[in-house]
Amino acid sequence: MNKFEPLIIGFLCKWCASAAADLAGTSRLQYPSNLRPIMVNCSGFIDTSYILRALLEGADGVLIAACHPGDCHYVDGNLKARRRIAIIKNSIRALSLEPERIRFEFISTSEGAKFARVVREFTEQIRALGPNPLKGDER
Amino acid sequence: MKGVIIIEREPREAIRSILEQAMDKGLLRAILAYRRSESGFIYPYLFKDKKELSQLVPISPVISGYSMATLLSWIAPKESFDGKFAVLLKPCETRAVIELSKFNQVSLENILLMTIECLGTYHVLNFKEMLESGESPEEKLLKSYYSGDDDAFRDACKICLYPKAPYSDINLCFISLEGKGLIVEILSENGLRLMEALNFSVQEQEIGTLKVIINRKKRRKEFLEKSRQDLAGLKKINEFFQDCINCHNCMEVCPICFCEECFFDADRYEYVTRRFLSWNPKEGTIPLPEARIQFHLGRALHISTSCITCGLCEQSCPQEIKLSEFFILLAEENQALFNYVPGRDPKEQPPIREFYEEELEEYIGGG
Repeated sequence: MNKFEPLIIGFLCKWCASAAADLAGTSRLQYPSNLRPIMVNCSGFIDTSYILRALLEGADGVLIAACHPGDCHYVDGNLKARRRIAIIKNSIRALSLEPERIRFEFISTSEGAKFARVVREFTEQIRALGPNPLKGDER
Repeated sequence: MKGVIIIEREPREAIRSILEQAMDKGLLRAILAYRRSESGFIYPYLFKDKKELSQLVPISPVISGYSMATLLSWIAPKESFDGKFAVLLKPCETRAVIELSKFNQVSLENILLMTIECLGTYHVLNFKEMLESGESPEEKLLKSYYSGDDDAFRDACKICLYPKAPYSDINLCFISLEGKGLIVEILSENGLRLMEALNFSVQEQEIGTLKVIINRKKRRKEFLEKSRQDLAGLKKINEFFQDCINCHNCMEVCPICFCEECFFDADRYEYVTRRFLSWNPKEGTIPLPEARIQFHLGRALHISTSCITCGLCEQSCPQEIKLSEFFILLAEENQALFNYVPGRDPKEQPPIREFYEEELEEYIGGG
């Protein structure tokens, strides 16, 4: 049997987490290749249905990385994102599904090491959880 | 509260006479309310002539299609005629109007919200059956209001905790007087202006809550417990939605779903052939996107913080899916998270429009 390799979709803010990913790269920090990063202009752009769709159509985990409060390039997009994440996690918990498959982090431009650590941690966490039942192979 | 007026008349007559007098004196130019057709069916109608008021149904036993809130968002999105426009609503509809006003879909200025006390309405199909069998649904409704027997109402109504609207211009209460009178509760300056212009003397008095509500709190708890069990885990959720035919009726009638074009009807939800081929279905099956869970859960994520739990989604479902179980569960959970009650106050911002720097710490990181 094949070993389970988690597939993680990462919605990374252009102004912070994407740059942190670059920094992690140029600093030669190692992190798992399970992350498929998608650069978005602002974390406030991420609708709950994008996260849901990722989970339903093949992702084992979804990482959303935003600027720290007060640092948002568009004033408060990161705070909007946090409210939405709270709503989707809370709803998924109410339906006895797995809110742990969604992870929200504040990562600034200079935190390349934090970015690498978060991806490492999250990948291991998802690996321990196993394949996402929502993606439903029998569809 | 600004005051109370007690009118000792049959409530329906009393309401009709208030509206007639107001139209007579030119205080109201149009009234949006339910009207009875010749066949007995009840539907929303914009009354512009005093003579038509005899067909007005003050206490409707059914919400026959769209919520009044949706209609109001079509009629008065920015402004109403000339400030003399009244709407007769059920409490859930009033709460939906308040929510829509927060999203700039209805302008509350120049509209007089008159909310009629309500313990529930019939499912539109039950209502039709009653008409066909020659019963009067209206009389039956009033009888069950006075006796406190709500078994025949819709599921969402049986567990509704709002027989009166928390925010309205005027609340028209009649249940506690059992048909002998009408209590007009005035809650705003606009309401007070209208009632004073009609030469009513306004008193100060406290009105108690109905006994039914205590019962309902218990029933609501049991209902939520049942919903949680019916929807526990993927297998049960799939079973719950297995009859869904993707007609999107629930979205169409939802008073909170106000988008011109639904997110889930947009191009971004169309799949290209290559996507279908890339999926790896079981032998002999056609791979389909998981449209049902995506649509229902996705929609719930969009609206649940403002969901007024009216249950119109369930009433409009041709497949009789118990949608109110799903929506009321998520509404309850998500509104509790932000300590928010939709329709409580038009000045309150809905949770998806308001945010603070320090909050929801438990949702950051691996929580």
